[in-house]
Amino acid sequence: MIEEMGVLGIMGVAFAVMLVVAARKMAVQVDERIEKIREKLPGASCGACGLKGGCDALAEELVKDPSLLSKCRLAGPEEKREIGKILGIEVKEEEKRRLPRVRCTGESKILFDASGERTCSALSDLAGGPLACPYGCLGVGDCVRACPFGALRMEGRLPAVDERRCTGCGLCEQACPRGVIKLLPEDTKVLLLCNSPSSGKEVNASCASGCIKCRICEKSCPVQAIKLEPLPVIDPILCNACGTCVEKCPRKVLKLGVVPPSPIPSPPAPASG
Amino acid sequence: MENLLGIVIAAIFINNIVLTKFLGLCSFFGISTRVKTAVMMGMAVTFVATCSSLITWLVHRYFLVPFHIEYMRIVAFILVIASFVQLVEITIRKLSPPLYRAFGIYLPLITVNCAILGVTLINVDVERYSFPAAVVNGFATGLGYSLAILMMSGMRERLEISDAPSSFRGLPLAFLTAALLALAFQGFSGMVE
Repeated sequence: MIEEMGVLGIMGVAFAVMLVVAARKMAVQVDERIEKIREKLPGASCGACGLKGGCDALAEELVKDPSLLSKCRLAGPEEKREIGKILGIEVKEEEKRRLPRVRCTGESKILFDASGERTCSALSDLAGGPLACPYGCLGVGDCVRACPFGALRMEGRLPAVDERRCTGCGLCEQACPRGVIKLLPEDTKVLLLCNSPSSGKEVNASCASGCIKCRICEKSCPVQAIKLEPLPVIDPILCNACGTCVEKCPRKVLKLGVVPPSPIPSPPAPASG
Repeated sequence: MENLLGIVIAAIFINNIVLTKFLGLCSFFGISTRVKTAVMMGMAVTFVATCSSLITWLVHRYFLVPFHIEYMRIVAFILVIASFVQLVEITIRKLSPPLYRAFGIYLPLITVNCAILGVTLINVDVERYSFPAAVVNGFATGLGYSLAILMMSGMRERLEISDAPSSFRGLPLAFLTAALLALAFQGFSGMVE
């Protein structure tokens, strides 16, 4: 009895002393700001900032380079101001929230059946894709799978955005092999529903809708806010959302934008590990 | 002097710690979803198994045996392994932050991995190995664990994209795969005496 207690007790004390000495000698200086910044970051570790280790990595990098703060697309202006305070920098007023817009009507003709493919990127590489339009949405949902917030779902052949859940991180934009999804400011007045820069003849042959570069929008705009280059580009300052172009477009690929509902507050950070 | 090559082959194939002795299953299923993390885990286990075999053998011979308290070996060994892993973690954190980040959660996970305790107990209890044989056995057992988790992760990566019934996806398929692997490893039994 005494022997057991003695031997194990001595071993325990010996190891404890060893660990204490090691911990003292090997202590690593951790910048205490990192922990504070990490608490203010959204904690979704979505990767939109471009750092591999998610929010933990961003917090560590921020201490070294405060300018990285603008890379986080999730943190609201409130949080960014507080992080700026910790870092001792001035945070400029945030730009508007940006939302993914699907620039396709999903009405391209289908050349061949490729329903076995499970990702858009594989489908896009397969003989140029099964669509007659090389710019159209493939409809397999790489963007849906890329979204860490469940803000996208497939509705028919096109993805639909749940604007309340969207944080504007832009991972869907990166996931789309065809550039159909583009992040635009939430108050964009007129949205374009076509992604194809091809000539009107080609678009007409491949798609039931789609921009045919007819320039009717450009000519009809009362404030000359639209320029074709080669798709219609709408000057956000000149445009007064009168809706003339939307009305006049013979292919109905222009749509009036609606200011979406504000996002639901982000859920508590998922436990890491 | 035991046949060290025989010990290596026995530990990797015939008495594979995971697939024959069914030890260390928790991490075997938990960490085997990606090949990259599986390789890291395999390396960490090999390292800790080797060092723990070394230390626990010495502790057993020079602390437990002289005082005739061999029956306390489980408590003593857990103490040794846990302290050792902690020490390694502290050291790596100071000396090599990239390696520390790479090991991440795996090192603490190994502290309570029954594969490690298993191999140290086999060394002193079941096989009663000599000192070099015990260290070699620890190392080879780590290799056996690495082999098993590497094969498992390779298969699970492919299973993940396979067209399996939804009720089989994930862990059920992993259990079935592990069972088939274990059956396959039974084929090695009796190769070395």
